[in-house]
Amino acid sequence: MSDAPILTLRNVESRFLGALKLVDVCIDVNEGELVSILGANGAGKTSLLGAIAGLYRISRGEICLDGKPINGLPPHRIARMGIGFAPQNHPIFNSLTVAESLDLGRQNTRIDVMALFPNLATKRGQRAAALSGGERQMLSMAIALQNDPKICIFDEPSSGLAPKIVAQVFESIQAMVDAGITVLMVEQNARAALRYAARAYVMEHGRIVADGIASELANDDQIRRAYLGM
Amino acid sequence: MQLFLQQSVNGLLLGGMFALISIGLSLMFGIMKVANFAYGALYMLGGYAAFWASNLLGVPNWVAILVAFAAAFMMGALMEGLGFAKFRGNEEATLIFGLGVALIARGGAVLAWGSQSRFIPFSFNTYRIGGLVLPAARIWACVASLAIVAGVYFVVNRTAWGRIIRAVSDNAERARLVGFNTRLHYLLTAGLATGLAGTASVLLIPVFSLSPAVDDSALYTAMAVVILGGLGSIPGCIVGGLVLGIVTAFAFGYLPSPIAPAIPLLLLILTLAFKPDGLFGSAERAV
Amino acid sequence: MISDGTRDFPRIVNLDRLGIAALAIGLAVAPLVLSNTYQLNVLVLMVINAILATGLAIVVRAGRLSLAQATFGGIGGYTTGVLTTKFSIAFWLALPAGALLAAAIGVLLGLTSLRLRGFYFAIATFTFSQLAIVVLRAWTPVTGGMSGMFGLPHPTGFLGFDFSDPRQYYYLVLAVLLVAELVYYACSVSTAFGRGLTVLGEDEVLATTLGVPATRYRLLAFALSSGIGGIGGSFNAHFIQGVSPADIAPIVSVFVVIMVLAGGAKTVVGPILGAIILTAVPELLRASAQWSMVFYGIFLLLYVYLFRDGLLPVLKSACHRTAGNRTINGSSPKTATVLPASLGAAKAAPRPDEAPKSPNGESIISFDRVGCSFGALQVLRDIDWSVKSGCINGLIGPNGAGKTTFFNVLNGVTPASEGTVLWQGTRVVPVPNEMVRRGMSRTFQHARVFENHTVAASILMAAEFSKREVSNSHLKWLIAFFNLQDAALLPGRALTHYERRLTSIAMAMASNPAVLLLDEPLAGLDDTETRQLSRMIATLQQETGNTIVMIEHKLSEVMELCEALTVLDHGQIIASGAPRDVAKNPAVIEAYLGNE
Repeated sequence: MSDAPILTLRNVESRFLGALKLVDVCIDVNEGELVSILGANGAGKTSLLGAIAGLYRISRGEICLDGKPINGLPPHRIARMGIGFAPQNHPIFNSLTVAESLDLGRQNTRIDVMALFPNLATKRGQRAAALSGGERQMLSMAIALQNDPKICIFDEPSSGLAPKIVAQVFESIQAMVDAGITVLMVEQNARAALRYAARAYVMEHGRIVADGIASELANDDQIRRAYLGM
Repeated sequence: MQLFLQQSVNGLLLGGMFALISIGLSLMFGIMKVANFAYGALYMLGGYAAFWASNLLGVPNWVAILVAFAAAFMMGALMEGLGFAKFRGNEEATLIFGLGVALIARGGAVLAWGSQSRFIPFSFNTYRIGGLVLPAARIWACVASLAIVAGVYFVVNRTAWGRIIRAVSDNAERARLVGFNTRLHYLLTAGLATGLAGTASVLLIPVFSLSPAVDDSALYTAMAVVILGGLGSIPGCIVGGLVLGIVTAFAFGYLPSPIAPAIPLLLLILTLAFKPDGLFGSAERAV
Repeated sequence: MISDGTRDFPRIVNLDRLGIAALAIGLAVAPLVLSNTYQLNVLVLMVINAILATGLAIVVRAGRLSLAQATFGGIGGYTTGVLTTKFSIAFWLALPAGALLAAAIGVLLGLTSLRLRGFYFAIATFTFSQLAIVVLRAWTPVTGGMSGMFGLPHPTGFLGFDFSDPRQYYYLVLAVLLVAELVYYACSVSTAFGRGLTVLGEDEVLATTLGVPATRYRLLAFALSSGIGGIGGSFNAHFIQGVSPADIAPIVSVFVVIMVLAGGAKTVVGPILGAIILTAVPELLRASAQWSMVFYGIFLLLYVYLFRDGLLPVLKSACHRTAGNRTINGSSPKTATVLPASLGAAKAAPRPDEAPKSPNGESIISFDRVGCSFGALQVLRDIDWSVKSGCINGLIGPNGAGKTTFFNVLNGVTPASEGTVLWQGTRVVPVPNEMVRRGMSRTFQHARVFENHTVAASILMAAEFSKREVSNSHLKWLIAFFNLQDAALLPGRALTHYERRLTSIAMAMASNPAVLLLDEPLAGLDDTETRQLSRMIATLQQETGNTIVMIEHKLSEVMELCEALTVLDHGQIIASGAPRDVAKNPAVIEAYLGNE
């Protein structure tokens, strides 16, 4: 385990149609950590992930992956450099089978993806369109695990899923972290996120308004009431 | 009986040739998800590239075929890069863009090269077996057709690159996030599709000859085949081609020629009305 | 930005009127200024093209691109040609016959291509046009075959008019164009039909869900469009005194399409402008057929790269800039005129209408052994369910359980393959726009609104399309209740996600339904918005007394809001009843809730 963080954001600012979306955002994710980003709708969480993945340009600041700056590069280059991003609402390849979707890149060497998602293992030959909501989310995460990413980024992995499946999703993320995979996760469901994450950042109006150890944040009444609706 | 057999043979040969004309369009529909109204024009221009290469530079026929492929490939990639990429998702704009290019190509071709028919020297043998007429040119075209369709099917469904372009076609943004340069893959696919059209054009010059008017018939034929066989289905080219070929051959064999063209047209309209997903299309529109 | 916009509206409307006046004067005066016979002939053809383009624009507004307008012109021309030459019927009697035949065939074509959109529809019309050519070429004894018909008489004169004079012919077709324009105007914004047709072209799913009868409206649009085309074709044939298959070659229909696109189908005079430009320029350039083709091709490319809304907005903004005004983008002034003053002004405190109750105490809507399959896939199986009236009913279950299909069968988007749907105890076969009229509205998982129309206009139209009795007070109340006053004049595309959600629910409520179906109304909302909207839903039900059925995943809200809960899994109901009891049901915990 090296000392330098895998992912750093320094003073990142971005705009959309002139309006500020991200303001002075500084984030570190260390190797092997599970870090969560929390906050209300419109706080800028999805803009943040989009900026990291290269989908949006930032107007100021720097984003570095393993010490190398990635802001300004096209998304496919950033992906190849080691970011496995699974966007919101589990976009997958409906016309490909499960097996084909997972054959687009190299197998992950740290974790056995088929063992992690046994439901998918039994449906290798099925077209992704036929999967249920929970299975789609798992496939989306499995796709992001290809090519041994340096960091996996998940945008609201539990959104829109039945409660039983939500638990399964978080457990599989925990298993990834246990295998040494670094995960950055945006979540609406603050209660669950703080239970699994090591550290968390809270965003509001595009800024980081609080950050720290997850359990401390969870126990801080002021923060809970002000930002987390708990 | 003799007429029946001859028309059956004609129908099969026509079917193979129709499939050859339409494989490029099927790729454009299936992978690029584009209704390319300039397909016929690119088919025609590919043919002319080969014709001029053969006529002016005296290249052997197999080189002419490569020239047709290359010329059409480049034009297709250009259309994709400058046009279809911009209008992706906007069906109306894509349609109109294709139409605009087709009009310019058609008018320009007549102005530049005149409207007379052109030929390339090719083997024009005609085999006669048991009283049936089997022109060699058509047979070769059918062989090439089967080979090309099978080849495309294999590449798209069984190779790594095929998986990649299917992923890009399905969800380009996610494909980017998995590390694929979608613009490049779109360019390659568009080029391949139109390149195949150009190739088909050359292979069919001995049968249909070449003139600017060819772009209309190529476009209508390809559209009809692709609709009959199911939009986006590569094996559907063979199915659609055979159906169209046999129906056309029998219509022209048994009906007076002013009426005969109506039959394939009726078939197409009825297919669109009742089975727009193709004659053997599945009801896979569930959920 | 919006307040600036309203200030500019009067100026824009004046410019519109000025432009139309200029156009009208130009058209009226042109033949008096030009004396050359050739030029007069071009003018006549220009107006005839404008008639064809105006007819086509009706169908384009309805969301379909037809490549057969010239064919309908040909049908008109051939019909009047045959009737006048072979049966010696006077032109003025033959004309309506031609128009009716063209309209009838247009309806037939429309019927065969009802379910086709975009490219498919274009190919169907294109194939039809080729079929027509084959038929007309082959039917030599009647149509003259490949060479067509000659010697068609000019329309018989009346009141001293002599239509062999090009100038008088010009004024004749100009009058016809005026009538066509009025029909087009009625099909655009000035009638309920026109408004319905317009939104049908913009968002068919939403339009039909609000009560617009898609089939009927489209067929009527086809009939009008092809009828007008037939009339234009007749006047063409009896001007050049001949008609042949070359007149209806596919390329001619394409030219008509280009004219409509050039002028823009969004404005009333767009097609006329397009016809003028695209007839005049090739003539002025003395272009050969091939150069015309190249010119049209270049024009199409310019259209698709530069001026997608047609040339009219380009000209308008040029005029604006010369006049020193700012240009406005956003909803067209036309929608502003749709709003009655009553929606804005505050008189007495607005009240919602009371939702209609089921007369005989029967459950308003229920399923009796309903099943739904797509081919081999069975999505719903053996559903026995009736809604509990006058409260909020919940429908929950894992993804893929069939909840959205449940809704689709309820309002008729998807037919039930087995069993019966009962409305107030009577068997019905639901059809979306009929269910709205009966009193059932729905929303969608992805909040659907009209992107190009303001919130207020959309709510008004929703009430209008439902054909139900709704008071203005009810609509005013809805806007205030959902806090949409500030957003009321914004077009759909300018709304935030939360505003879209509120607007879509307001639109569904605009018809004062007895039953409101909400599909995941809280999806995508953060905690504050979720709490706000769920309280609004509760209050909404209390104030109107209607019945709500809600699909949701956010369980704490479901437990709080619902009086009756049904759980769906793999297409079957596994539990039903009071929320507390259902939550304790072991089958439900196993399938859906987990052990949290």
